[in-house]
Amino acid sequence: MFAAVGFLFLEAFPAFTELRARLWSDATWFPTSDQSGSFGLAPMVLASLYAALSAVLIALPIAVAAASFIRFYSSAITGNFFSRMVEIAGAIPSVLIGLIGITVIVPQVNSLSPPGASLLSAILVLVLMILPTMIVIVLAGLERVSSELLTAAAACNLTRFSLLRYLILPQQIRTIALASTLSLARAIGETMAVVMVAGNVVQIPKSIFNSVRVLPANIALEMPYALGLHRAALFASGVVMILVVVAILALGHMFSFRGQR
Amino acid sequence: MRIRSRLAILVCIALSLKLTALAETTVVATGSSTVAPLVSELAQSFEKKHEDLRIEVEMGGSSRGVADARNKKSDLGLVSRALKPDEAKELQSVTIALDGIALIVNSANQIKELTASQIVDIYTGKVTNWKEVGGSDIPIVVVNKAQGRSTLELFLEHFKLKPEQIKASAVIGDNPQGLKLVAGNIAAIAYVSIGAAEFEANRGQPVRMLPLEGVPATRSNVQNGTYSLKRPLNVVYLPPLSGPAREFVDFATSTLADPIVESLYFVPIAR
Repeated sequence: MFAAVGFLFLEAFPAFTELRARLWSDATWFPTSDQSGSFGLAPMVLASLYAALSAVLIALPIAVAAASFIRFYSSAITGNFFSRMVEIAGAIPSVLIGLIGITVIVPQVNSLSPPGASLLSAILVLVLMILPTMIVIVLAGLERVSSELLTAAAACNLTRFSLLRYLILPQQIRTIALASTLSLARAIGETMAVVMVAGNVVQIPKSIFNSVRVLPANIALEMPYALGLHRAALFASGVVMILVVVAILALGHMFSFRGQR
Repeated sequence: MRIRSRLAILVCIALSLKLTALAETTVVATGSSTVAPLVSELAQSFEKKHEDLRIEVEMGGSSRGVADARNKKSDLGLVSRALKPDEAKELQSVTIALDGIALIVNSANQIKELTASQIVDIYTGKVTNWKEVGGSDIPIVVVNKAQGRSTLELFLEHFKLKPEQIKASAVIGDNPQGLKLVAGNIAAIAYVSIGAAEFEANRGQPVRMLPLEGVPATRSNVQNGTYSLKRPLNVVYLPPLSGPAREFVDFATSTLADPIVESLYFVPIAR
């Protein structure tokens, strides 16, 4: 693992020494251009963050609701069934989700506002990708809550919902934070599904219907053909991605410590 | 002892592998990712008749194909364009197939044809609505290819554009993506390999190829030379070429190779 990361840094090194701040300050990404090329990563970093954060924000309430339903509101058989369905959904490869995206989601978004392949489509596809794992993690946390609590709540004339809202969920902050950070990290790195639906134009999105290119999609699109400095710049964007993910995980840890009482 | 006998077995295995490798001749071909799949398929067919021959194919772009052939790092270079003058001084080039690029629109789009200057205006963002070129009042969704792809380079070269000049609504990586996008969007325009477009259109997908300068975009027109947006798929080498590499190139240019060329949606060379 260290060797792999070390290799990344090594290959990215020329980009960091020759380009340095230009990786942030260049306005556009045209690495193959005749006049020395431009290597601005900023639009893509922003696109990655917007897409991943939005996806997690949307998926989180859905995941908590779904997990609560499975654990507290459904019978053993129904709960089990939905649990298995979620696991199967999590096993769907990203390419298939991308296919669903390009054949169903993109034309629908297009009818709202062209071109369809946009930040919104990317967010929707990311939600589909991270939701199953999120549900599984939150569910695992909820399973540790003893069923006796439910009985005790009924004895106190407390509704399941109040029990959830005031007692159980606040106690689950650590698990929810874990689910969020892991899903965020996954969403930032998601390539295949996003490259098929996001439009891949390198620009800072001014609206949710604008086409965007996320960092991993950039690597996937251009790496097979990149040479020299272009290649090093792509590796550098990979390094940036890793740093962002590490930062997110660190934040997640910090937050989960605070959640402990 | 156990360690010694294990070592002996390992040495025997290594030697036998090395010996089988020595018995095989290897031809190395590197370069264009457009040509590589074609050469891969041709190689598979060729290897069936030549038991102890292995043809290794690697991608890396036309530039790599030229560089490796020059430095003798490979036997054959795969190049999806004509050789430049300084390259042609050292290397010999053989065309094994042709590839054309067609501009595609959705079948529901009423546009029958676009002139070269209209295409340039659409792709540089001067024309943004289909009604400006005789179609319905819908904003144009411009689909471009990702940088580094030889299809993009051919498109830019033909219309004399620079990458920065293109104002795209969406950027795609490979032909199937472009075709799906146009099939699903009545306002989209894109450019893809002719063979791939023909295949999808025949399969019933709602895409239509636009004629260029009055010439319909068909594979036969690429072959007879009347369709201008095309490129040769070349195999280059440092002369002289002999032995298994020579035989392979002869096979690749023979009529036996035509069905393989067509199965990959390319156009066989005219004879």
